[in-house]
Amino acid sequence: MTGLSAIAAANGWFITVTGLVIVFTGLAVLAAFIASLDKLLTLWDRGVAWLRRSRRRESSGPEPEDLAHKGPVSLPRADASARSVFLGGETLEVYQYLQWLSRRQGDVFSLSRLLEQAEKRGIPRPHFHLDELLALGVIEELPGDDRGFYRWTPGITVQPEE
Amino acid sequence: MDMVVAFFKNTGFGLVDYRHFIMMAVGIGFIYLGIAKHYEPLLLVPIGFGILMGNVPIFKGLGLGIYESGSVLNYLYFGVRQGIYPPLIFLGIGAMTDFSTMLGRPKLMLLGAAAQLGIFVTYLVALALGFPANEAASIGIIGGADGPTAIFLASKLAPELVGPIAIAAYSYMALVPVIQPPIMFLLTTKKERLIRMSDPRPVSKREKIIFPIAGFLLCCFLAPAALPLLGMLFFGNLLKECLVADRLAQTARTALIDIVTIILGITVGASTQADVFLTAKSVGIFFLGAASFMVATAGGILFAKLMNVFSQDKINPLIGAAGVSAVPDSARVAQMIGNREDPSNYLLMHAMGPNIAGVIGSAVAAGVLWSFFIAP
Repeated sequence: MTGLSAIAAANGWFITVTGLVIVFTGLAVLAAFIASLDKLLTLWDRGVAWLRRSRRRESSGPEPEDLAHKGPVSLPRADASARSVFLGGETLEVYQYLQWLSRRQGDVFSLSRLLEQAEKRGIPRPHFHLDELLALGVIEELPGDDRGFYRWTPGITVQPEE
Repeated sequence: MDMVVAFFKNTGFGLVDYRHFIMMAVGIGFIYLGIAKHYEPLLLVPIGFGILMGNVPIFKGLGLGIYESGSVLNYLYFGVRQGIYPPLIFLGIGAMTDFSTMLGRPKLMLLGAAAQLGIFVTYLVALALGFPANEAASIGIIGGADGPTAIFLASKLAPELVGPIAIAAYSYMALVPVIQPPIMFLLTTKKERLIRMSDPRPVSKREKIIFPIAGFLLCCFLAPAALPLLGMLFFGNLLKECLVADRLAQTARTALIDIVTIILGITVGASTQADVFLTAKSVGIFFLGAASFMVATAGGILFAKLMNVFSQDKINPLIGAAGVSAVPDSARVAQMIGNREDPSNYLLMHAMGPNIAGVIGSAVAAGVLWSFFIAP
């Protein structure tokens, strides 16, 4: 059998249309998912940050209203060296990867080796992010004889940007 | 003297006929294209040599030929017949492919879907020409321009046609720089070829890790028969992106894919034994394969033009041709043609999006076709 009758006999039209629809639908849904993935992840980050903040608030002692009833109290003096650094989405992510990578070298690490490992693992723009972390003081160079080696600055809290 | 004559009759010189010479010429042609013209040398050189191996005239029954059970080549060919090698190649492809260009501009994935038009149009034409439905589907998949996918589907639906289909698929993949440019020029205007595309957004590492998992689940729920191919493709990509399985990713994208490519190339080449391969059906498959490839290229380009009608962010239609898979040659051709019009216009990065989507699209199409034929 040949011609249009052969196509009809083998359900050719149905298979073709269904096949094309499935391929298009599959890739279109995947494309829609990818397009919204960035937003979904931002939402997720916000949710996690909000959860962390609310937990911290719960564990940080009584609410201001309660304190007002009890009258003035002497608050513990804040550690002068402790400070928070706020990092944006990609930088925060890279910061976490770099911390993970540097752990293999120990508390003190070589910046060039860290950079090499970051490049090998495909972390985006590692030079830029390391430079940013150095500028923000998240990473500091060791003084004296250890000059040329680096560490994560103690007492710095890294938080996601609002 | 009789002994000398008998010995001569037993040698290749005594057993040879014109069909062996034709196939040997094809094999040498493949080797020439691979070495001298650099057309897909990693595929054409092993296939070309395999054609020579498969067409040295031998006695039937000595357990030497690829179709004789118990022969070494027959054991190696088992992986082709059972569709074992294509998923392993997909594992390697996944482990070496960076999906970020596609993730950065996901709408380009639709071009990879549009280019699958060639598969289904050729399926219809093959049916109309009198091929049985299972063979028509196996021939149509050549338009996916994806050798492993074509071999996989043919091994499931029409095992006796694996040889011609694989040879046709790899030949056209190698001839991408020859087949596609005329169609690209024919279907686009100079103004369209000059379109500059904006840079895709940067993609975070987390997105790259989530994509293979989500992509695998989504595509395989839709077309479960594509599981062996897409499962391995996405798994390979997850190994690459997760950063903690670097050794496995390294093996998948180097040693494993190289070994499988060698065995696949040699056995597919050797499966073209003149007496099995040189038939009218094989010639028909070659013609239909070429048509399929052309329709697929046209489908991608025309869909890019259609998207431009509705979109503010214009797409250079040349990258639609990269939707036919054939990674990364068809993307390189888009870059080459675009570069010829405007030497400062770089399309390669943009073309990789539809190119990779084409790999996924052709595997989904193969899964869909297979599931129609295994359905009770």
